[in-house]
Amino acid sequence: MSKKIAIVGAGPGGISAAIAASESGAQVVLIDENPYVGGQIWRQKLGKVSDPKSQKWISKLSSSSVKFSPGTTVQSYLDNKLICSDSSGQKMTVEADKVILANGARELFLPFPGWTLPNVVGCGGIQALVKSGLDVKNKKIVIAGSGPLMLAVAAYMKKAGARVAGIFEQAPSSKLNRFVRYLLFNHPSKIKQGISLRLKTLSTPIKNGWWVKSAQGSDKLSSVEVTNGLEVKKIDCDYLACGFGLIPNSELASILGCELNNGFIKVNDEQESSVSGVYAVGEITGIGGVDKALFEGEKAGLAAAGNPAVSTNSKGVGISEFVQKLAETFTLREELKHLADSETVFCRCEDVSYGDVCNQPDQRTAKLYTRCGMGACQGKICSAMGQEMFGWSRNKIKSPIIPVDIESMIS
Amino acid sequence: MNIKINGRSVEIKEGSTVASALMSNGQTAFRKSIKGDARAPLCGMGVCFECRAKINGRQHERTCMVLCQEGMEVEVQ
Repeated sequence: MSKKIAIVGAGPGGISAAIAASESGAQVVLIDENPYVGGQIWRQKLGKVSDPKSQKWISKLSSSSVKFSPGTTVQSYLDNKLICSDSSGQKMTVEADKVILANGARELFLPFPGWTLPNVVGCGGIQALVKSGLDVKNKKIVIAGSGPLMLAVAAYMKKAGARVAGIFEQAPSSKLNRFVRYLLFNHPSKIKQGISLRLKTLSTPIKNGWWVKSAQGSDKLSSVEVTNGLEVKKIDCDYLACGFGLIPNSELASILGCELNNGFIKVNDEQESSVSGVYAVGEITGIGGVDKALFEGEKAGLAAAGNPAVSTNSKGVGISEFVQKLAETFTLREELKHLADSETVFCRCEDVSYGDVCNQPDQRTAKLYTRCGMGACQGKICSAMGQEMFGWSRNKIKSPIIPVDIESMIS
Repeated sequence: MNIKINGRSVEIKEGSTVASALMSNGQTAFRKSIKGDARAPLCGMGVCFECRAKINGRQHERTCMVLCQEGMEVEVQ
């Protein structure tokens, strides 16, 4: 009998795993919260695939026997079943002999005065919104934060008709130059990609070693202040796109009992986690981008389907070094942990201020005394900030991993 | 395609999510925080819950995860 495999997350890692597993004869269900396949990096523009690489993979997926289940949110896991809700909030269960996790990453946010104003959004956040129909034509956008995503987003915003006033990368030029040298010798295709993005954004200044200091506005954002620690510049703008790098969506892995290392899921050579039959691929095993996700997805799909991974190809060479160099280059500077003042909101769901949490000894105490992390997002935003800023250890994740209607829980 | 935002009918691009449709139609505030401040989408990908609103009578929907449908009724605070 063929194996039933459930894959959670329909980005490059999940797509690649799904194709490999179904080609090996498994019955595959690919689950995603979003209405379309693609995940974040291959998010479709208003339901249309545009990027040629994603087009190739997505059409291969549609012609396979994989069953795609869009709009499906996983809440928990019980007796070999994923407990999910569909887009209308109805409970559904997905039975599986093996599970492949491809949950991807989200952005790390850090609090600064004004960061809760409307039109202060994530960097990947604004890209997702524009791809989902937000019109930014003639809008002025400041991009600040950290990571290679910023340049890609700048190019995308320009294409969408926006004016990008500047890209402010917190990492210093010295580190970035070292990274570029490393890429030149090891991943020349990534340099080519970077140059092509830069050519599309030539009118936008890129400032390395600069970061956001504050955002101003009354009912919505009107300007931002950026600094390099010595001088401060004020820029009028319509949007601030600000993200401080990517962090893994490891909540589901946690409730499945997978061992984590600094939030990332530990896996063996076949992408299997510490829990037998549970595999993990893509950003949740280490931030490394599309090629890493595709490579790991294929390995996991083959292994989960009982097809011993044919890891004779050379695609995997240098991946772990790239992950490490990326993390080193974009390590966050100390100043970013001290941008908030005592009045700045820290937990957005419960309106808990930085002043209320900064002296709490740990996350649990902060939660008990201030309600920090007890709102609708269940601490997905502020726990990560606390880990970065105060060295909070990770709280145990409990299911459901997302707020659900009580009716769907008892049904 | 048309949806209603607090009873007002607006034209939106087909394939838009509710969050993007609202923002494109000048809706800056999506909800009021506990202390009464205006909040709007932050993450754009279903994590932060700042974009939540009432859609067709269902409370606390993440508007960034829901595609617009003809005649949909959205209520923001």
